Amino acid sequence: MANVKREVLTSRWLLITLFAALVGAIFLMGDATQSVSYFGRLHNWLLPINTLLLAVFVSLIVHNISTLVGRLRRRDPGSKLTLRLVLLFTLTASTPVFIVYTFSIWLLERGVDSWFDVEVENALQDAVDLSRSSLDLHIRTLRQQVEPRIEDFSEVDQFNATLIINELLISTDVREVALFDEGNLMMASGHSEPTTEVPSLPGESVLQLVNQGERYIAVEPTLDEGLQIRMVYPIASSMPTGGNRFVQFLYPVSDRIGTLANNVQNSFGQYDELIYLRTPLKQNFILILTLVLALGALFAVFAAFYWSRVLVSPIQELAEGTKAVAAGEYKKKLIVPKDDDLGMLVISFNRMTERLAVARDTGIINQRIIENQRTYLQTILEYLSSGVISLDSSYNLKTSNAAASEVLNIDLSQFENKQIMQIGETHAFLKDFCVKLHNKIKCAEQDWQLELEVFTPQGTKTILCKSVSLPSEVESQRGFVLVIDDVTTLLQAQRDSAWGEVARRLAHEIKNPLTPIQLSAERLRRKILPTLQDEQSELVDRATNTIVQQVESMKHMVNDFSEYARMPTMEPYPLDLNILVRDIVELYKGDREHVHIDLDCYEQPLMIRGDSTRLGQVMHNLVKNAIEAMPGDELSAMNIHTYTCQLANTKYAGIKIIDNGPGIPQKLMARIFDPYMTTKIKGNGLGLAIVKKIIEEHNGHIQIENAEGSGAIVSIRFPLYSQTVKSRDNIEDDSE
Amino acid sequence: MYLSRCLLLSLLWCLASVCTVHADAQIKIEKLVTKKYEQSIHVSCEVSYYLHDKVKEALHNGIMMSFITDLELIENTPNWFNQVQARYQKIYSIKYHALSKQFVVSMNGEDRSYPDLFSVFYQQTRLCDFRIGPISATQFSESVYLRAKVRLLTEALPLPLRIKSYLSKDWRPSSGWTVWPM
Repeated sequence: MANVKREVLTSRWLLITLFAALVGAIFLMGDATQSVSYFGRLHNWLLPINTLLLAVFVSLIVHNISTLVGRLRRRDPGSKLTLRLVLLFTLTASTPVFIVYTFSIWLLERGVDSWFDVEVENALQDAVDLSRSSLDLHIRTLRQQVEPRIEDFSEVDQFNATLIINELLISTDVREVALFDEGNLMMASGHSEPTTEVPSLPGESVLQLVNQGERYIAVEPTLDEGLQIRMVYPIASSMPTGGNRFVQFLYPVSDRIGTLANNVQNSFGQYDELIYLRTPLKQNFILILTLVLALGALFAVFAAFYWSRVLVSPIQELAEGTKAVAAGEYKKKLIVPKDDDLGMLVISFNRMTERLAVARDTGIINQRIIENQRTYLQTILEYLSSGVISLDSSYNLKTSNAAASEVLNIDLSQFENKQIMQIGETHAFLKDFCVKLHNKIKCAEQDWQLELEVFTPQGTKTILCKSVSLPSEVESQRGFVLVIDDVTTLLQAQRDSAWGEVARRLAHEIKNPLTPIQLSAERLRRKILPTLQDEQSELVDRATNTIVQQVESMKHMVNDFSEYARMPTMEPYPLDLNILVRDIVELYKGDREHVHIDLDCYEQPLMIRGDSTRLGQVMHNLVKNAIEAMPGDELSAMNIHTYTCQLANTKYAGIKIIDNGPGIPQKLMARIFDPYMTTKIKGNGLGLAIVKKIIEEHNGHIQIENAEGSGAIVSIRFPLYSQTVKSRDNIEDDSE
Repeated sequence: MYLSRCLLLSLLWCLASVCTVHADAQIKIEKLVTKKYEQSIHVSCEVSYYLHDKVKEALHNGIMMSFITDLELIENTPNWFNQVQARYQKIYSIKYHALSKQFVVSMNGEDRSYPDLFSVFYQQTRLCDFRIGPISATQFSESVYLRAKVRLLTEALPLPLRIKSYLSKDWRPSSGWTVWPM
């Protein structure tokens, strides 16, 4: 934009300068044409000045055309308008100029021609002819005087020749007589004025003529603008040397005749010169007029370029501003050129850009807010334990968080923008889940909640699904949000709690009457049995035995329940899990001949914090269960190994017990830790429930899964002692 | 830019062609005859005039024309700029006298009439006749030479013809410099 301004300013000064030069050139031209003599004085400058101006104009216009062509090729804004304006201005300015030019040429032709008149020309020619005739008549008279005396000079010597000459000078009007010999050397001469010493010699052409035997008679102009008559006669000679003598007579023309003849000659000469110069003069006038016309026309073209640039400049700036706005530069400000229509347009443009800039800034701020909110929500969703899945109106999965993938045990990100049914097609264990979900979403109009069981490879999961529809006026923004929670653990805890309560009540409500029953049965037996006969005695004996046995059994059962429900009274201290496992396994080695226990302990001590008695109870239960699960009629192998692992920045010590028994039926897998859940004929179903409870009391975790082929894998893990100390220290630090 | 360059070059070429002196001269110095004297040299030129018919026609129509003969004594110097030791000039004008039908040649304040242009240019020797001096003996060396030029004095032409002489070579007859050893 600054370039355009600078260019316009430069062009303005250039235009003014050139205009001044043009006016000067035309002024000179006007002055010069006033008279031929003045024109002559000035014309030496006119031509170079005008040619220089012409060259300057042509160069400038060529430069402008070249620039304009370049702009047109680049499709610069305003270039086409500039072209149109230039053509319009040029046409408008050139038309009257050419009319004036044509008229001027016509006027010039007529004007110059009017200087000359055929009658004047003829009159002058007649005057010249008349003068010539008069002089011819005079010459004839003179010839009659001299020609009879020519022979007198034929063979005279110098002395006699001088006498003859003197006689002629006296007797005739001759001014000068000179005799030349055969070698063109003067023999004798005489002049009417004795003071004149050197005679006027004939020219080479005259001599040549005379030497050829021809006479020469002519009127010649003299230095004093007079006329003289030169008559040169060859003289026949009888000398054997050859060549001719010749005699020259010079006669003056009388002053009166000479003056008149000279006047005629001068007038005729000047007029003849003017006639001859008429055409060149017209050509010169036309040349200079054409030059001025060319200068004027070129000036008009240059001015057209300048004014086009001035007019187009604000439009060009507006176009550039619009381009800048289109490119996102909303803070573009245009300089208001003048208080005119274009100025108002520029002001409106500036206001528009201001508003656009404000709107853009507001938009950016809003976008940032939305972005922040989105990030905030995303962060929340990522750290949410509940899985969140969003579906569009066509049941395509739009978004999901990490918890959703964890709950479903698959990577949901690979199903984005895919139908939810495709999840079931890819993962067979989720097929029923997806079908039910899909049907529910499709059918239900309101928000709903559904609890579904999913049989994952890691076990049965109970998943609680909640759906919320997303209403929107825009079809593409409608959809559903699914919140899924793995409530397996929660349900398990609820069940554990319920069973604990049951056990406690049983222990309280059943155990208390059992002792009086047993005591009563024993007293009855002790008191009544001796008094009864055999049959009755046998009956009582059997009955009381049964009562005592059943009560004992019930006591045992109630004790187990009591054990399960009992609040933990642990005495934890650091212990090496490897030693604990080794001690327990040692007890079972050789216990059953068909069972081979393979123990593989971690090479370093696995220190945990725990109650060795209760953990020993856990190991007893698990090893015993594994041995009991293995078939008794064939050789079985059990593998026990300890290990370390890290989960979520926490290091654990783990034990894995793998047997090659029949495994656990899949349908029981979900409730394997429930009390009273057993696959054994004689079991009360509290073993694994107690094991789980003890492990959880140690902040540990137990997992049972079926091995590939056959057998079950029991994995338990406890936080390493170093971790528990660190946690405790952190807690202490926090409390401080 | 390409278009403007082409046009500028064309313009320069046109100007150059107008200003160029063409080789086909209408005046030619055929010979330069020198005759040495003790302290001077007599130089006479043999000049051929092949004037254009337009020029002759102008003379016949009473246009006075002046011719100038330049004679220079030049000494060769080691540098580019040769030293002009002496410079001589002779101007003569020719005008047609209609009444007497004679061409009057004016030179050194003296008029001489001739019946035709042939007589003017070929039957008289005064037009290029110089006596130059005094010249010292050292100037008669091999490094000194003469050069002469005969041309129509266009500045003395009537103005309409003067412009023609700027634009047309026919109106600028000149022999160019002719170099001649001493």
